[in-house]
Amino acid sequence: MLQDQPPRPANMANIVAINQGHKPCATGQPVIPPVGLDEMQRMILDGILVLDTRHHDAFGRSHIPGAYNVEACSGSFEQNVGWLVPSDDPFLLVVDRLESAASAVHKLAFVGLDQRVGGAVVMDDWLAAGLPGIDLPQIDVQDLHKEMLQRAVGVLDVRDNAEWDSGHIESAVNMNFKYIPADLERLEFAPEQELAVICAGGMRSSTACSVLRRHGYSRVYNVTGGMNAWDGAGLPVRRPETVQ
Amino acid sequence: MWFQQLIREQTGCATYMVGSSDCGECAVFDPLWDIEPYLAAARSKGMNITRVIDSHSHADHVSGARRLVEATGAELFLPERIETTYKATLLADGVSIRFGEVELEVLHVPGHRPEQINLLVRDHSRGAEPWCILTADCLMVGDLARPDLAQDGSAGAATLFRESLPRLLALPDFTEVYPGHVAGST
Repeated sequence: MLQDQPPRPANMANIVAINQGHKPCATGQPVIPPVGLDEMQRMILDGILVLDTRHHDAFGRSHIPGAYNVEACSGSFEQNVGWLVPSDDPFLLVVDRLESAASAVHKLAFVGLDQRVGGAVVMDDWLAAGLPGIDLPQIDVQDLHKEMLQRAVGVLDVRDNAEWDSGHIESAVNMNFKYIPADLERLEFAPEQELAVICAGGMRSSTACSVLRRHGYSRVYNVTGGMNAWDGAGLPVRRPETVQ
Repeated sequence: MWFQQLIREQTGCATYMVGSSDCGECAVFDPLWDIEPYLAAARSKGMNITRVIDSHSHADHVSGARRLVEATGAELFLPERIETTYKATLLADGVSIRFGEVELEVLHVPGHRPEQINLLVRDHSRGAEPWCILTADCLMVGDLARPDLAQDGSAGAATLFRESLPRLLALPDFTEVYPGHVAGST
């Protein structure tokens, strides 16, 4: 029974330290340090992690190179940040509009991550200043299926165990998106390999793509619509009753 | 007696307020970081938050206990076995917190974490039998707490099954159970 337990949440030690009084707890409403674009660029050059909290469609169109996509509107936003940013390092937030930053930091305070926010920027302001944005290539399920028939495209399914067990693409490999930073060396794909990343609907796979790209995987594609679209299109799914 | 469950749906965290209609005082059990919902609920009932209790050192969310104590001047209660730098009244197994008709009896139920406590709630305006138990991270809906987060999993599980669960099972059948997590928790 103990073997079936999921890993310990990466941010757990941090939360316990706050609750035991070894680390400070935000007392008032969390404040985001006011950081200008110039300073933000310098921080990024120095390696600070950027968390883009916008919708995965917007992230797919344009984002700051190296950014992780962790959608703030997801119910698990703060937990996801806790999984993906396990160290004590600070990070920057990218938002669609300024009010979203306050709401994101409020959610982060529930797990003690508000104090790690080093600044926030509205993506439109970043782009309007002529600063670089890159896209995340997207592929729809029909195109992915055609590509898979013609050549070796790796498929990484980043849903959880129960979702995977309920049915998945035959050739796919499963690794929960939350565990990718910690388990990257166990991933059986080479960084130069073409890799389509899929979840249920396209949000978690966008997160996974962004993490993989920051770790040197240069040819990743986010599968739009995810397994919902794949299944809905009647494409082949390996289901439990077909598993021997 | 006034009893209210407050759930943060995003994380499935369930927290509780128990108030006395006799004396207008209420206790908050396992508050989350955002304390506004508790302050608002107390205001709407015309109650004063006088006691704040944490069931254990939470590992999945930041406790709002200290913030709530600062905001209200309430007394902070923590389990006897907890490791903390905060000044608090420590709660041993069997001790009761009593205000008005409300009695909160402490049950030490280790397994999830060594210090974990539950609160057995009695409304003495109704009778001496317990009304409900706040099981925090010990007993969930159809499940028990993870024993492997704060200690060796086998030792934690053994404690949970041999010491803590039998005490909960021995409670009267009509005792309502209110856990610290509901669906959607992490």
